[in-house]
Amino acid sequence: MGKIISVHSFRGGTGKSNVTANLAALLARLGKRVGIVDTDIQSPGIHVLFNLSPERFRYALNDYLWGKCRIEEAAYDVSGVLEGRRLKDAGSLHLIPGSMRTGEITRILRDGYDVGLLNSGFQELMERLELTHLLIDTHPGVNEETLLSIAISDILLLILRPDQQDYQGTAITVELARQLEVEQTFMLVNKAINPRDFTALKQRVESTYHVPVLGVLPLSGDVAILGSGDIFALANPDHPVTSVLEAAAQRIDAA
Amino acid sequence: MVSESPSSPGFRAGDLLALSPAERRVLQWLMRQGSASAREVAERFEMPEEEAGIRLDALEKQGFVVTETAAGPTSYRPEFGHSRPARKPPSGIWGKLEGS
Repeated sequence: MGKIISVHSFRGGTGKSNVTANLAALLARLGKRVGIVDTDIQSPGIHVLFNLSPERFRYALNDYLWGKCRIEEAAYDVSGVLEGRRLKDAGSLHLIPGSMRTGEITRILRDGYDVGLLNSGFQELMERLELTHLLIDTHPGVNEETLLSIAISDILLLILRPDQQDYQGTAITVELARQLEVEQTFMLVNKAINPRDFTALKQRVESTYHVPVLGVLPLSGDVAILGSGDIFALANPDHPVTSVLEAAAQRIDAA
Repeated sequence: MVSESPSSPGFRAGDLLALSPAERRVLQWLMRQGSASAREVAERFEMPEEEAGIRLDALEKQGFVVTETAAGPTSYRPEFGHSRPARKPPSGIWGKLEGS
């Protein structure tokens, strides 16, 4: 059975979707079959990193939740991002995007949805696409989807910035993960400023939360310039940011 | 602990936190499995089948699992509640967004 990995941050703007997309691509580069579900229904966006324009997807997660399609019909093979990038034996990438239609986003907000269907969709997706890893890109903060995804996850990855608001919020999510007895929780610090402090920062975070930190990513101008136009680690294989992401992907794969 | 909204059957994700650890573990496992019999629950948690049945019955009484007896032994399936819609906004907003 494959592993479900929820990627979460307590606050917005941590780079959660960007990290999720990169880790998914790097896991696929290790030969894994990887699925990504954009459960950030209120503000979907991870499809942009895979160059999947809303005009190209007939179905989104919203359609599945309304019974308009099967979950695998809302899954798009985005393995194309791996092509032509010196990769041998790469696995595959499958993305379930959230709808970018205003009316469909507001309908979810207005009517809610069948949470059981979301849960069974995750399980069916794992089985039907024979996934080794399913990454769930969650909405920031604590809400219904977040709690559900944490409750069914094998691994919870928390993304935070070195920021006091992030520190306090992350403590809440760590506590929830403990209560729900998630098998393995990891953290990844993003947008850190001073490279000379990275080792000490990692140690501080680990000793504060008693959770392993997979790496510390710098606030990178190169990532910002790319502007979600591509998967950074694939476009910049020799970049220091990529090295940190690769190590994180390997650790997740080994967990 | 029973879900606060009797009009919406089943459990909400927040209800998990109010369960005893023993009941919550069973429910979380069922969420991944889809459904299971008391015997399968007993095997997974290494407990007597009778004890597994007690935990499943407790979850059923709270409306968090439902039983299925169509074929073979009784199986228990998690009963999810519907996600809560957003608070009612000022009148007319949904209507204006509908056509988007």
